[in-house]
Amino acid sequence: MSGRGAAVLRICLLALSGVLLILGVLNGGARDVFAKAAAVCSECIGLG
Amino acid sequence: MEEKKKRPSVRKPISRRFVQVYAAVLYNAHIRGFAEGTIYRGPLKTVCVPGLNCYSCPAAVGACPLGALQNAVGASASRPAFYVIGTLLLFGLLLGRLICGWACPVGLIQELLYKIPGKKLKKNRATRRLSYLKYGILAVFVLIIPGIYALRRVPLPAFCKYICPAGTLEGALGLMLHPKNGDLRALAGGLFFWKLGLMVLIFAACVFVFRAFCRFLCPLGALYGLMTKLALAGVRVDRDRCVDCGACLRICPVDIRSVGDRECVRCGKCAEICPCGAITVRAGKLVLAGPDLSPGAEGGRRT
Repeated sequence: MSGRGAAVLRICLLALSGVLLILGVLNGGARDVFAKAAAVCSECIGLG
Repeated sequence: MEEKKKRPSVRKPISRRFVQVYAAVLYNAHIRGFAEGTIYRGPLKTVCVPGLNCYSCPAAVGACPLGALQNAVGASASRPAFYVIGTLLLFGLLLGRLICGWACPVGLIQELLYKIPGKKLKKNRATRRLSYLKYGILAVFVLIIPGIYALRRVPLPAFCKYICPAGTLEGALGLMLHPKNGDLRALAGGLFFWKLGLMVLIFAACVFVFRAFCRFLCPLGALYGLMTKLALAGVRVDRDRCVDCGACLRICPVDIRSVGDRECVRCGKCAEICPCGAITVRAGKLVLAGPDLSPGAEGGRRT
């Protein structure tokens, strides 16, 4: 892939990541992350 | 043939160890969690940190991107995982595997363990083959198993549950060693001791093998590695200066095939050793390791 092609693709994907983040906040995905991270994760600590 | 340029003066590199320690402290800034035996439950937990850092660590102030991804895959039957995919895409495109080498607490722990004196296993054909294992773990434990259980509406973060040494070290030991958490200790069973044994095995291996977990097992590194060609931060090789001496490949402690490929964690050892000053580790315009590029060297190729 040429340098210019990679740069264009990078910009497009960066824009996509921004769109996904916004959609994720709107669809409740961010809330899900918080709900999981703000509670003790029993799988992580080996309790089930 | 035009004579290769002489090695330019090397700028004092930014201390990678300092950045690693700073990142680890930043991810785990809720120090009083250790004293209280509880975890932080504030709004910052909505945000994923770039490196592997268990969100059940009493000091963690952010969410683990890998744990968040598995849970998002597990919930994908009801809610598309836009937020976590967007976050990982952003980290991967901006920093790529620079995160592994500069901003991952588990990477820091492994490097400190490797400093323990003793016989060290250098990279070889077997370690190169083993380096593919992490892509399998990414597929099976992070995507496929949580995805299958998502169809049954049962969340199963399989990597966290069966493998992750960060969860055992930071989360389990961080919480269970607190005197007031006797109820958690009472619940410890076969799974806990499996994870504890695996963690001991992994960290023991890190004494003899440079970043053994990172190179062979870490699915987050695998994920960032897949985006390495597009990452803004990376390793740049100035082909005008390079004399193909191979010093970079010999000094590299991980299983790279070419400088800056998907196995490279951007530690900058190649930039330090390069006799021609042809290699720089950069984050955008910021040179993290290697010589200060002269205007004539700007045509260097980022790999």
